[in-house]
Amino acid sequence: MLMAKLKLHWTRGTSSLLMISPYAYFDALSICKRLQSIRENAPLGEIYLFSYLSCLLSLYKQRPLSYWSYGFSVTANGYPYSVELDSAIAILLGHGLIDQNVQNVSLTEAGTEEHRLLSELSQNHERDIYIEGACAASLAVPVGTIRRNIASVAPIEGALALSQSRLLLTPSDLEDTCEQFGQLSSIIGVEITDLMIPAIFWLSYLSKVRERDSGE
Amino acid sequence: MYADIEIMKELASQLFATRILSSYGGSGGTILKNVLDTIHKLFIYVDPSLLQGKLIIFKLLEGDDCQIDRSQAKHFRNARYLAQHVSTMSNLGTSVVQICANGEILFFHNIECDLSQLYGEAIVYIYHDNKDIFMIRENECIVPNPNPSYASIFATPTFSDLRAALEDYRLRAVRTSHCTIFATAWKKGDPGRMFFQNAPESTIRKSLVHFLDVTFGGNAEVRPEQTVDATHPVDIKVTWMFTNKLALIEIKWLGKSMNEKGSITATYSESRALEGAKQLADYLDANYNEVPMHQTRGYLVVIDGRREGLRRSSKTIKKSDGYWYLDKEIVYDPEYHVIRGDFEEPMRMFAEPVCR
Repeated sequence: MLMAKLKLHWTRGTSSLLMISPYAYFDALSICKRLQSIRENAPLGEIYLFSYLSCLLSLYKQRPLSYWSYGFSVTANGYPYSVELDSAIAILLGHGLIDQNVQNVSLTEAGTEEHRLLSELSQNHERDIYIEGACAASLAVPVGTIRRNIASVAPIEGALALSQSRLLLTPSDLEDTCEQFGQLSSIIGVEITDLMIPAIFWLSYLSKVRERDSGE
Repeated sequence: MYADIEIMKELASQLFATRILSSYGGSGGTILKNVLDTIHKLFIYVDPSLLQGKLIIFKLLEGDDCQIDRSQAKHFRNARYLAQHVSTMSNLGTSVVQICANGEILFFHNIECDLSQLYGEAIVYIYHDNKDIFMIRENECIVPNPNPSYASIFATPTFSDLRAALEDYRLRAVRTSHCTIFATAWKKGDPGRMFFQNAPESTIRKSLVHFLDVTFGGNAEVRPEQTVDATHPVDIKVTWMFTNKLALIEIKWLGKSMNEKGSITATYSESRALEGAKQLADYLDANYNEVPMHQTRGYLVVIDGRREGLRRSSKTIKKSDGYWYLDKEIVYDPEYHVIRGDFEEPMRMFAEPVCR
């Protein structure tokens, strides 16, 4: 298992030293595999998008933010982004575990095997529930709509309006998100094990709010 | 953003997914995922707009035994093989797909069977008459389709290539004005689609932004009316994540527009498209000065609603006049798409009239 070999290694960035997050490494593999199963290809940007949605679903299940173990920011163009995921994807590409063809990435045979082995680790079982819920939402909601709706939340919309990147899930962001999730879960329950439906519900709610705010 | 509980409650009572959860519990949600996955995979290969008849897809909440006679079934290992079979059929009649617990798919062509008994013990999806429907116990739940250019919300493709997305917009949204937003660009009370409404630019732009928003994958951001420099707002700007790629889309419309009083407010001919090409070339130059490290490509979209012999008093139009410009391609001079490396070949999208 490549991850085991890499776990204690440090990768040298251009100006700083970054440790590979084993969670980001697994998440990238797992999201890639699921999106590939749904649509036969996975644009690179969607790995960040669905990882962010997965992290939000862990908050829905009342996990603390620290559970996700790596953070997100939003780029000036309004995309959720994570340095840890970026490093993990670079490692996966560099070691031939995922292939990149223009904008799309796919798991190689070695990547599929790596994912299978890592999926057996208990620490990854729960993460897979969030990832599965997030990716499965794209069966019901077009990916473009998912992207647009996630971008409509205040922190991302604000970053886009100012063309400035900023951190996501700051304490004030969290307060808003948790309030929404608290209300959502009071309607459909927090005990639900398959998180596709909460994901669809939240994304559809954001659509409705957008419609309300744009007067459509 | 505060949580709007009223919107949430209303949504929960309408959304198929929450209604299924409320009626069938958590296991209903898991089965729904299997059904959606099969629909999704089927519609990748079979265009639902071409399906004649009724297609029913279901999976039982428990086991595989139901009242349908399995001896009539064709067996498929996955939805892709099923799609190959379905795509060869001219008429489905009432066809039923059962997803089995082991993943096998059974297909029953044109069967006569009362399926209402299934509604309490299975997640049942019906595609009929361009509608996506879930039967939730005895109640019908129609899934709203935000992009009716596609016959089913579950058949919305995800493009990564902008030109391919624009080609699809031409065919599905503009040609027959199937996009509900684009359809409002025509003058009210003009069922023949002869005159655009006064100043239809913003409606056309909104239609294309909406189309790209829904169909473009998670790699790109689509934004209307973005400034290229201090004085140039381009109709649409597309940026791709983690690359230095940008696309600028300029939209021009040709034809006649009419206000509510029945006066013609603008008449745009071929020269308007040529102006658009020049404008886009200028935008690309300005954009290069602003962001020289970006690879920018320009796309000129020309919505062609020209009709031959159209007068202010025209109430109907003959087919020969309505389609006069169908194949009349625009000759550009200069041909920016030939002489510049950053200018895509302009795309003329002819919007058909409804003729006598």
